[in-house]
Amino acid sequence: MTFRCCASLVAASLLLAGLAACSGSAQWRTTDITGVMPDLAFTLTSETGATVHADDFRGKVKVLFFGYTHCPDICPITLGHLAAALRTMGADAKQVRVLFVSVDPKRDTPALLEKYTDAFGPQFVGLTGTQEQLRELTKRYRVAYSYGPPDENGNYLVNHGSAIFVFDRQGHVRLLMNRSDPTKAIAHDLELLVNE
Amino acid sequence: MPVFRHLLFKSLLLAGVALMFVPAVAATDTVPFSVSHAWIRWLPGNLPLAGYATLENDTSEARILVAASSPAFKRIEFHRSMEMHGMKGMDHMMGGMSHMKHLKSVTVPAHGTFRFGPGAYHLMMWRSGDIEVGDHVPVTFRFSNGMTMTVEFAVRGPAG
Ligand SMILES: [Cu+2]
Repeated sequence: MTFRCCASLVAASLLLAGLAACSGSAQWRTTDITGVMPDLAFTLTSETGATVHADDFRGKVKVLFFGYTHCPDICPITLGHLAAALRTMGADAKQVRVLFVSVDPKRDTPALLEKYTDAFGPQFVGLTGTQEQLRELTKRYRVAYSYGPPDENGNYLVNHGSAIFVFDRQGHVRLLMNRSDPTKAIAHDLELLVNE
Repeated sequence: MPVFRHLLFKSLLLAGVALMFVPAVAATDTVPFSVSHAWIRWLPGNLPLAGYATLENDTSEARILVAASSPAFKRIEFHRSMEMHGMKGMDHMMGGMSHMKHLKSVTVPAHGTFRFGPGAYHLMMWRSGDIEVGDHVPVTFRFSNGMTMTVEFAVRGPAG
């Protein structure tokens, strides 16, 4: 089954939009960003401490989100929301990987990231990297992060982009989601990508 | 069960219900000030946790919450999660930016409600011992007028 080309209907609007796929189609319930950003590429550190590349997730639908574990509110809300969407997808959920990229490598060790992401489900993968690797990846997808000043206990807050990016099995950028999208819409769109 | 939680349970029993809902004025038919929907989002390791609760003030005076404490936490702060859009000089950014703000106090308006809720105001709780999903943890709120009240928070899983 292919949803990618509803060609005759939207050919004209496609040309106008200048986008690669059928963005004029109403099939997506989250924001279609096909072609507007580069394919998924990164070199980061995995939960086991090993070096990982985007290619290691080839064949899976990838959901990319930036955050940090000392974020007890927004990050678990977002991951919990994605987990709720995946739970409604049955076997299709096995074809999805949620890549939680910590922009706080100083506190987020691979071991802590593993524990943190495991709390949300088997599809959740914690990644982090050097400042250079993180800067490169966040720049690539036009998100930002920054650190607040440490308090008297040495704790600091981290500001991070809240966008959720979705890449298809081949690693092409496809959708922009955010945590206020209903779980039904998220599950619907991820299912379409899994079954492309 | 760790000794720590056993002690918590015991102290709650000793204190009884009186400790849990201390009315701001002498007993009337309605509770003039109450706290409900109190829960904590559990996370693994020793990470700080977020706590949520709804504070209802049926008195004619605003109540200013200035501190929260608990035997299960070494420090509890008031935080607000915020989403920034269209930041100056950042028009090229995709989506918004999440950040947290540390607050010294929060105000429950007269005849009004204040809600610590997911994605907005929350208690930022730095734990001092083991806490598990299913636990009930007492938290004492202190207000600027000297009023204190202790509320039991239910510990739920990471997804709430
Ligand atoms: Cu916080």
